Amino acid sequence: MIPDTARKAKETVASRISSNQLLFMRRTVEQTIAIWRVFRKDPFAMTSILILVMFVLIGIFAPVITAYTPTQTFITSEGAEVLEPPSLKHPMGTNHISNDVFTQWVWGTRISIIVGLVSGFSVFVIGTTVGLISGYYKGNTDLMIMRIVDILYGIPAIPLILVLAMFFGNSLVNILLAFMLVLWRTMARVIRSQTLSLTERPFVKAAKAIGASDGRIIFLHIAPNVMSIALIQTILIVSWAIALEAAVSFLGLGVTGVSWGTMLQSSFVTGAIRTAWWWVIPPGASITVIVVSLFYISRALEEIINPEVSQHQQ
Amino acid sequence: MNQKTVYLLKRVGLTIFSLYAIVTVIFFLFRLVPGDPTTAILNPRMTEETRQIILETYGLTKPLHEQYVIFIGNLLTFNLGVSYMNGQLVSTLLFEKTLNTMALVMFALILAFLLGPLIGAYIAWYRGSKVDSIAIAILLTLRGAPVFWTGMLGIMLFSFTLGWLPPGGLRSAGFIGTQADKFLSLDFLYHLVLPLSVTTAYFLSMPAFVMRNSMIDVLNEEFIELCRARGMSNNRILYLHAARNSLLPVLHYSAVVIGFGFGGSVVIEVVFSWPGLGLLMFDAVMQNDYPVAQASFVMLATIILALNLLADSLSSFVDPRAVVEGVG
Repeated sequence: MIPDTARKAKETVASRISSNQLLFMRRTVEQTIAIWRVFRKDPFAMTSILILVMFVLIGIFAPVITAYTPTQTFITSEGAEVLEPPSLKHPMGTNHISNDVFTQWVWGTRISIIVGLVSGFSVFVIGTTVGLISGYYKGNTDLMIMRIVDILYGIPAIPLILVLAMFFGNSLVNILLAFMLVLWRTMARVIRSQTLSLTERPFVKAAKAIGASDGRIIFLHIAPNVMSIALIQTILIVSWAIALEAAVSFLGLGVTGVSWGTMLQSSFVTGAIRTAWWWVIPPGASITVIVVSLFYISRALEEIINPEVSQHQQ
Repeated sequence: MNQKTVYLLKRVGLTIFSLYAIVTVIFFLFRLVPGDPTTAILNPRMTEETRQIILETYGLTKPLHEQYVIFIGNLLTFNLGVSYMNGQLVSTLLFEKTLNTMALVMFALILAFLLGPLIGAYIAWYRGSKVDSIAIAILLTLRGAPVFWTGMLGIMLFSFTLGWLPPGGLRSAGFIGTQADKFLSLDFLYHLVLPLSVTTAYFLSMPAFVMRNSMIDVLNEEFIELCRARGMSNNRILYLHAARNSLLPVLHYSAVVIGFGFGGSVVIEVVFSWPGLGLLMFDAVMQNDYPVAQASFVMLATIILALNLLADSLSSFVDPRAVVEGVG
């Protein structure tokens, strides 16, 4: 009797899992529509998306947008075009060694977006996995991971990156590794607390009862339910990484080539901020606009996930 | 022992453990540098003899576990060695710079935690209105703009264009006075205005947002309705009744802001040439001054951990629930 029932239950579950993909697709479409509805009503979020799309396009088409290269110098018969205010030839003027600021700004977009996306994606993978494992296994595993997270909270981000750069040099890979080290902690903590409550839900217990493996439960049953929160966190991480990259470059530990942070650094170090506003304002304003756009998008997504809050706020 | 004592002891234990772990990581980081640990700190032009002498001075010729014991012992006795840059005692250097950083960052944090919740409470009252969305936009911008950039803009405007404020530093050249005079003089205040405003504006938005969200929850509770029914003025309800009940999350959240604030001190101090811990550490890293870099890093971590402990202890006194919910 009992084995029979168990087999039946297993078969039902099996057929359900095969139809899982269909369900998953339907849910994705539904979610996309739901997201679109909220965004359409939120002018700030819509503007933010447009702004981000614009910056991504600038980053992708950098070589097409500007005819010059970031390190190209402009020397005419009257001498080098040093610290010239904006003109038709140089829409954002020139810097202290007669580079075109507009070209540097366009190429800097690419660096910022790459750093943001790479950090965002890797922190998403690391933070979610660690958080899921910590929250699912509880006990000693959880205790150990959370202690590590606690310790990381005592370590200031920029000083840590400084120390790492001093020891291991400041290559792109090292900087990105340092970013991951600093940024995964919040993600892990948020996902863990979500997982803790999810493991108590009936569907997880049911999956355990029919003998699903831990890996299957974690990644097939629990993971999809933390994705929305992970997405919001990832967006915030991207904004963090972009700001952090700017700060690190500003300190002169910049990655490679020209980024918005290095532009600000050289304008500061050379004392050009006395006059050359055209060199200082574009990179800083772009960082601000991107980060604020990401904030607005994460706020809009939060309203979708947590409609109660938004109802309160009306 | 009651529950609160246990909780506090646990917090203290965890703080000490965290600090110990950070110090240990620093120790091994230094010894794990690719190649010889001395390559990072020694001048390549030094002769082999000088190298040996320096290695011995810092105990780098001994086995690793002995080095570790010496290292921890030195930290505990505040025997931090001598700066490679200028030969000063690291402990003296550290003490002076920590005071300077405290004067700027702590002051800014306190201001941010006074002003932020006030703003947050105010816009929570007008939630969903134009005032609210404009205030949110301003706060998000303050939070999103890199603090070194707003600092640069401030310097451009107030120092170079208008000429009202000094572009950096902590006191005017030729200022003579004792340690106490340094912080109590008008000259200090004159130098503090710009860095303090920029830094406060940067820290402000986090407490403001936490306050706003927690206020919105509180404002939907029944006792607020009762206050209204009793005919209290809006301001009285807002600041005397609702705000008091919304402050807890702000306190809980302060730990994050503290870590964030002291971590940010590096860029802030570099922009304003503020001679604090952050600038000290930056200069040390730039010149491979290992004892100073290490000591200032440990100092920053200690300050952050100590202030976090303080915030948690305060929480446990104000909100007994924090004790029950435990440490994790």
